[in-house]
Amino acid sequence: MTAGKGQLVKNVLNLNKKVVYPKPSRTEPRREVSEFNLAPSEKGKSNVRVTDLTDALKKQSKQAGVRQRIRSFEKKVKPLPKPLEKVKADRIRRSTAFDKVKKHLNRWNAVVTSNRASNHLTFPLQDDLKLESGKNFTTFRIKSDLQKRLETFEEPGEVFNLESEPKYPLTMQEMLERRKEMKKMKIIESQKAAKARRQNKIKSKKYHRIQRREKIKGQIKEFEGLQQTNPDEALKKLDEIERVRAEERASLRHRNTGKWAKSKQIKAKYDSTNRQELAQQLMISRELTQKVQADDDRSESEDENVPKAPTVNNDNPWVNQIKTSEEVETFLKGYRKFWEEKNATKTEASAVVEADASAVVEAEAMKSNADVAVEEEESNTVVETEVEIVNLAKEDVGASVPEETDQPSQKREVDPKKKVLKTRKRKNSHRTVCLATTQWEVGILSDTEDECEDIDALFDRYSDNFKRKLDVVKQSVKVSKKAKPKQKVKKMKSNSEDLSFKMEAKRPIIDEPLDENMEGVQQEKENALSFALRHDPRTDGAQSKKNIDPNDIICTKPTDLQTELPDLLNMDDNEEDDDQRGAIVEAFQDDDIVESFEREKRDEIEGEKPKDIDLSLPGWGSWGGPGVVQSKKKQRKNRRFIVKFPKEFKRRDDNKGNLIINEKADEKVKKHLVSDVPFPFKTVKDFEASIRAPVGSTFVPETAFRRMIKPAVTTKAGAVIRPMTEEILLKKKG
Amino acid sequence: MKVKVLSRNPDDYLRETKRDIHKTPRNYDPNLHPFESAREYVRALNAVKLERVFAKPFVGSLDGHRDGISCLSKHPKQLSILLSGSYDGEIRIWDVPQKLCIRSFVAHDGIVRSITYEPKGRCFFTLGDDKTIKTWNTAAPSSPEDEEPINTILSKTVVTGISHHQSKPIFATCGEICQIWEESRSEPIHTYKWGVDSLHDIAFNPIESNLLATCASNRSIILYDTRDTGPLRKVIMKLRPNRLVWNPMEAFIFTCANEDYNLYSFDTRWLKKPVNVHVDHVSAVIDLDYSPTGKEFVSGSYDKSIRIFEAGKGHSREIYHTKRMQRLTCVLWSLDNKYILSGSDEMNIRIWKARASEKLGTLKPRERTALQYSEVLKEKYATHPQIRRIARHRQVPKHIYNAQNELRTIKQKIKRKEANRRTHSKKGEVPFVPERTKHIVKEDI
Repeated sequence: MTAGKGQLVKNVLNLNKKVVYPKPSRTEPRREVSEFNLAPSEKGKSNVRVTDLTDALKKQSKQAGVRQRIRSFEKKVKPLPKPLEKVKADRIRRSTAFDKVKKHLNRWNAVVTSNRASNHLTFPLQDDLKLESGKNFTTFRIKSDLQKRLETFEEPGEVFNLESEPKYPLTMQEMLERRKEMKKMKIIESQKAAKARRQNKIKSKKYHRIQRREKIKGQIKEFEGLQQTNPDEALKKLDEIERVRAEERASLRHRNTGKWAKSKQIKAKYDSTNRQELAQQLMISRELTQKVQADDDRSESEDENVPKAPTVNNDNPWVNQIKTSEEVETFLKGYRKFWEEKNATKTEASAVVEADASAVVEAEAMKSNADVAVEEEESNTVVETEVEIVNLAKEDVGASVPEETDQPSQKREVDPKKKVLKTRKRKNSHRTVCLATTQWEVGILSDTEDECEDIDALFDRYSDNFKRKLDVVKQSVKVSKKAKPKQKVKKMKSNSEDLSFKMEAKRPIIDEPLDENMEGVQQEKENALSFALRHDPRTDGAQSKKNIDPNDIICTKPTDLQTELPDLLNMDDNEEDDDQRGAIVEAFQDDDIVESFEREKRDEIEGEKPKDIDLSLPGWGSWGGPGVVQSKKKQRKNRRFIVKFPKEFKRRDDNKGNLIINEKADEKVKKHLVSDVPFPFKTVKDFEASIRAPVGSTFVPETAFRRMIKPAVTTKAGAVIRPMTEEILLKKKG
Repeated sequence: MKVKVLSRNPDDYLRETKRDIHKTPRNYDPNLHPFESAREYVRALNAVKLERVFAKPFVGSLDGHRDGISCLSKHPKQLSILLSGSYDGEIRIWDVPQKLCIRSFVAHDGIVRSITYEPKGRCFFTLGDDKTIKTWNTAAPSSPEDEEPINTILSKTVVTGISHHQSKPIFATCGEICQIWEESRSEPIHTYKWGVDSLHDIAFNPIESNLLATCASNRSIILYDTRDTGPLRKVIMKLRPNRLVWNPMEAFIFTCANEDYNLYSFDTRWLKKPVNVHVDHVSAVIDLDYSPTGKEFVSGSYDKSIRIFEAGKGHSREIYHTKRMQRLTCVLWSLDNKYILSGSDEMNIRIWKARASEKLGTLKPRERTALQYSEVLKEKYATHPQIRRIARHRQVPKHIYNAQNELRTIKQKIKRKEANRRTHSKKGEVPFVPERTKHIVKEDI
């Protein structure tokens, strides 16, 4: 009893405990090990570890390397992740495969859309039958006597066909060699591709800059080489370099809008080096976006403005501010000069005056300093820049005006730079005014101190430029902000590429069920009852539709044929008009025209108004015949057979006082008129235009007629139309 | 005396030969033709009336089967040859222009489920309820007694449909599972299975020939890629699709005939909803076939009628029916885009014109131009009410007419009910569901 109790207590206590299953152990040797008996070994008590095995090698100095390698391998390599469940893995596989198929199917987009849009298609699309016209029929000719005689004279010259296939197939060895070569090529190609991909991935701007510079240098070197060997080619090369520059100019790089530039702008407040960099960047941008002027223009402007001073040569993109510019410029210039001298007799191009490069650089640097100031203010507001300019002007005169107190702190940061400007300006003892008639900058290089004398003008110009640019940018930003959501919607709609074609000629598209009737069932005749229902004002609202008047569609100007008959209609119309009116007024002086018109209209309305219809059968349920008077009761009963018309009957001339519209006049033509604009057309005008153009050979010339009646689908009698094949994707036109 | 005489050069008005057309000098100045559009309208009206007068689409019937037609197949290269299988296991090969049966033999025990030609037309494959796939030579043996299949494959599972690859010697069958076979082997080279439901129709894409689609009995359409992965995607519909056909000119479009009286055109890339819903039948649609131009397709329905749809439109342009034609089991569009062939329950194969009023035979050039001109006029004035009325009017059998009325009332009732529910419930609770998405349950990955 107690033992049993004890057992029970034990059992109860054990309920919460984890059941520990004994570790499976093999009792008898078997070939097949059941996978269900393989339980994970307990943690930390792993049966066999690699280290155990490698430890055995400890003492052997020979195998030390192995141990090392295994250890490093263990560190690096992690165990593979557990494979996904089959269902999930399948799902993933299916979805990726479907995407692939989708992409594959997209290839057909163009063909399908063009086929759908085209007005004429001829099937079979791809001709299977290809007659070999050349060899069998056309080439054979009976030779003339002259030809025969000529042939006897001429030795048949040997023709070397380099590209024709070798007569004998390659030997095995040759084939192998060729294959080897191909393989090598492939490997090299793929290596190069990989390298290119890797390089493309490099995000470092510095790296790319260096690369670009190297490229330019390479180009120059090439150019130099060419210069000596082939001057014509060299000039071409020069053009190419110029074109690259133009392309760069077209792409709006080197602006202050990039991520980098923006970050620099922020930093520039606190750091002068950043400021310098930014200025440099801006300058490059300006240089690149400067328009290149034709040579003759330049010479003229030079003559007018600064006759003798050496000018800046903006002709060459590489001259000024790109880092490599100096070397580029010097030799390019030299070469250009050389070339022009050489070709002086041939071309009338004016000689390019060589500019002192260092001077140019300095002038540009000055400009850049000015730019920094402008740039930073621009980031605040345009108004502020104006204030600045005014300030500068004042200071220029000499009056020191204290700065406004409410200016933001950002401006103060600009100050040191400005001070530099001011100080430099004060250095200038004498000032020459530089007029900018074109977009060309004209640097004056009398001496080193002169370099910044026109700083005011420059400053003004740049500030103006900036204002303009800022406005443009602002507007474009606004436009883009407005436009963006719309574009998004469009993108959502067309999940594939938009390949919409415009149909050549629009035809109405009818997509509605057939008008299906049972055999023997006549269509409802138009009777008085249906007419009454149709004209019920309660239902009238829904049915009122705009009719298209045929007179609108067929509107042609009356033409006056050249005849000798007198034009009676148009004779003396204008002259007698007034007299006639007067006469009418005189004649009807006593009559009340208004009264009579109203009477007429009333009569018209009454006459047109549909009468109530009596459907009762006289004599039904009572005596009928002449002289039989119906009882009142009967009359009341018969009243339900009377189809009543609505009291107020809508007319088109209801509210038009002095107008009677005869609605019955075009009843006959009405049923031929289109009541609404059919589908692909959007306006009545479009539709009318489509109807107006005639097709028949009675009205258009034969060729146009043939073109217009070309059927949408043409098939060949007895020709099997095979499904489309992939060849059509490869087929080239013409 | 001087007499003034009107004299003309006979070259200006005389024809050189009797066969020339009369010379008619014309002035095309539009001002001289004030009624041109009115005249063309009248011409269009006459043309459309004549079209209806000449609309006699029935060409003839092929009589000979002793049980209902179960399947048809067209020869891939020869227009005149037609293959038909019936419920009693008999196969007949027809010479269509002569309306003659040139060969007949019993191929299977029980129903012939499906037939297909090899793409070069040298042999054809038949499937039967006896779980066998038999290959037959197209060339007839010397005597009908020697009728023997070239090859017989005993399938382990039930097979119900077969479709041949467009170029390779590979064909696919469906049944319990989807299997891909190589012509020379007796074991399937691939077996695809997704879910447990049986498949009743299979179709290889004729353009992207490694794509495959099947209709499953769980109301779904399954897409396969035969190259590597097998099943790709599945779309489940509200009611069962009976037959699936790919558009032979648009690689990604397929259309399925559905049990819910409609046909659905899908874009393979966007299976979430059909591109188009083709309505008009009043009973389950059993079979369909695309015209070889890919612009139209024909459908045969359980409502004893054949309808022709334009691929991009939701309503049929034509309905064919005869009094004696029973439930349709299969339809075909001939490879020259001229004829339609239909097999029905009552043992007849019928030949129809694809365009009801088309004149058969050769046309003289002037006749052809006149017909083309009237065709253009009909198209141009198609929306004018009189022309539209005449062009779109059809007589239909009583049962179709009544069924249409019934369906219309049902539809109206549903619409009304939904509108009522919408007005009496919170805003947005009863959403507007477009017709295209209504019939799809879900797209399954």
